[in-house]
Amino acid sequence: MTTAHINAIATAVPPHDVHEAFVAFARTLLADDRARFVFDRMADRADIAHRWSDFAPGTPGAPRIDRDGFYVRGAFPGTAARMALYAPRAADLAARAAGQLDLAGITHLVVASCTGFTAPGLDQVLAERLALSPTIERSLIGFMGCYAAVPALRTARHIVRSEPDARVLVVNAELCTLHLQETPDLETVLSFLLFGDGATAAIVSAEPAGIALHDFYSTALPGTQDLITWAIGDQGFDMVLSGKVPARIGTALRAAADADPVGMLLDRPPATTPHWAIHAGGRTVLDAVQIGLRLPDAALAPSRAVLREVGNVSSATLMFVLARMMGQPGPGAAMAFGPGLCAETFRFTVL
Amino acid sequence: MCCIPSIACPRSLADRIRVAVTGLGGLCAIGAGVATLWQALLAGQTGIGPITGIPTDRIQARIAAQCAFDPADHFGPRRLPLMDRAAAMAVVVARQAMADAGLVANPDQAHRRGAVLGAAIGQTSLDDAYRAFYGDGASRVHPLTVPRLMPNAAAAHVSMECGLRGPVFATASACASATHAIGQALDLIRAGRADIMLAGGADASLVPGVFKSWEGLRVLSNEGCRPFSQDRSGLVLGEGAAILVLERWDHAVARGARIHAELAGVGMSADAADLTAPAADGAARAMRGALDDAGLTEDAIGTINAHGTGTHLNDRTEAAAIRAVFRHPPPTSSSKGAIGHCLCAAGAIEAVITILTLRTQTLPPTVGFRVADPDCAIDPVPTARPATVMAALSNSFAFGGMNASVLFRAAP
Repeated sequence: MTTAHINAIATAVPPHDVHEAFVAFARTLLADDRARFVFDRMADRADIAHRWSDFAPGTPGAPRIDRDGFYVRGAFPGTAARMALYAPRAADLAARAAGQLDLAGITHLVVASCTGFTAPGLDQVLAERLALSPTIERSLIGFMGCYAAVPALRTARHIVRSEPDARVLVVNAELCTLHLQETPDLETVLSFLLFGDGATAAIVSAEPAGIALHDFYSTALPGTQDLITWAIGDQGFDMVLSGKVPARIGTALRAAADADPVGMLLDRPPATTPHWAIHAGGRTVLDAVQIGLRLPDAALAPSRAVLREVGNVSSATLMFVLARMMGQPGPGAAMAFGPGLCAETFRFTVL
Repeated sequence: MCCIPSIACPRSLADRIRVAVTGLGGLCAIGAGVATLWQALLAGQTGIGPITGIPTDRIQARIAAQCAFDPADHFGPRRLPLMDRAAAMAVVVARQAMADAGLVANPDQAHRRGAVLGAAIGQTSLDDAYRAFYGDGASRVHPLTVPRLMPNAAAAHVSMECGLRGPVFATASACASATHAIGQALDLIRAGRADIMLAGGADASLVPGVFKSWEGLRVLSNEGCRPFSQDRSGLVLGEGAAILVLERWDHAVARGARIHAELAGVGMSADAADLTAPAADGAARAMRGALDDAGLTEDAIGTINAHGTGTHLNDRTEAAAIRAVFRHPPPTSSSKGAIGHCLCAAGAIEAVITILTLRTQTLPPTVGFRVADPDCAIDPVPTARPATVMAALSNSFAFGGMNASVLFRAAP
């Protein structure tokens, strides 16, 4: 059977670092000293230094949160206005990532995104922008959340295995900062600490170069449907992210490591795997993975670096981590988590 | 409800300084050394047994959690007369904690190191002196009685043993003393007053005068300590000591120290209501304060080490407080069925147990628990079991209505 490989990965983030500005804005939403105190502590424990957006930060304390006044206190935009920005901006960012790659001979396009909807879809807009063939086969992996990099790669792998001459362009494009909320709810505001914008593009083919993909595995954790939700609201998309998520993931991984060696860990003990590409969903998620699998600090270093440099960029996050591993030969395991809760995993070998 | 006494400035230095636990020492009735006591606890062993070594003919108590500890095994004839049993215990666990942290006394850094311990009176020395004076009619008592019984004696001995020349003192809040001590040490490091603090407590109060004093409160059990169990009948006194080495996070990382856990928050509150009866509101505010201080929401807490004395009133009130804070209360165990109520050391030993819970990802049992109590609607962890615990609380609620709760986060 043909082995699919990620031959190249390119990444892009928008031009403006909004982390500090968004944190400063978020704390002004909170109603009392206690909430601001908790938020400040959380902000300083998040291990995030930068998050990126097309929005330029506005003057601190001014009614306009961003320079151009998309977010104005008391008059945050509705979902339609946000989606109107999603279509061009997501395509621009994805094109910036894909433009770094050799796109000659691309036969298929797989696009994953959960931060906007548009039709013609991002896949179509992007195919035209990149001057891909009008006959290219396109697939859109929509609204699956933070783990969608894995279904996108899995889809590309299936394509390559059925058509060994295929060259699949896999794109992840997420504009999380389109969904800033104006709410005094602490738990919602805390989610503003995590998410940023980013896009990745990767070429998947049978050419034996880059990262060989093996053994995709998907599992849903029972009884966890309420822990991560992402719903279309009137003012952007609404995030629910329970504090129970890290422990639940940790429990699942520990059970996998202890009792089910042919399950999530795919018959490879954690200690013998040098590369760990973990969705950088947040500091505590990474802590839970490290504790659950009893991994050394070095194993999580690439994922923690991505969290620090770009924050959680939803489905693109895992690709940012994999990009850091290119050219460092050795076996690895990848894991991403998202609504469900689901864990999407695969093994890989960096050539 | 605001648990924060004051907000000096947004995103202050204290927000940015994290504190690591890099060393542990412990001694109690189920074992000397943290590994030993942890294994005994997981096995469900109790250190509660018949009182030995003191006359019991004039006291009603028949059981206690006594330590197999002889100060003479650890100190020579020059130091021994200077120390109450509690101070000796404190120094022994300080040695363990320093060794565990890979630290030795360092004159160059001594002024950046300190200690805060629970203020336990040297009850052995006090009891001996009073018995000699009142009971035996002696004309003089041991000349070192005062330096042995003073509540800061243990902290003083630890400072001398470990070369600590920064902030050193003792906290007095009865059974919450050691937890307040840990919280004070946390704040001292956050405030930049020290890089390394030894925090905890030692208590050796199993002497006739103390038992007699407790009798009046009618809370002692002669059957056993059964926290959260419907058939609980009271608390059982214990003795012991524990010390945590707390260290500024970047300091610990820079020297390559092994980090057991992060001391992420402390909450303190007072009931201001009753000298001996606990109040759920005060306990709840202490727990909420610790969550706030750590910047965590209740969902993040994987387990609680309860104050859990085994008295009807405490356990019922604490369970109500937990249910007030947590929509879905996490598994909650009390260690006092195994180690007894170690008073000014209780919070320290229980903090060590909480940290070992995080280290091993295993919930310790509530030893002695037998029958579920509808008035304590929590999961009391009847037997040890594995669990994923990313953060945990350790509660101490004292006579006087003084409450403290500390929050530890797992360190990968």
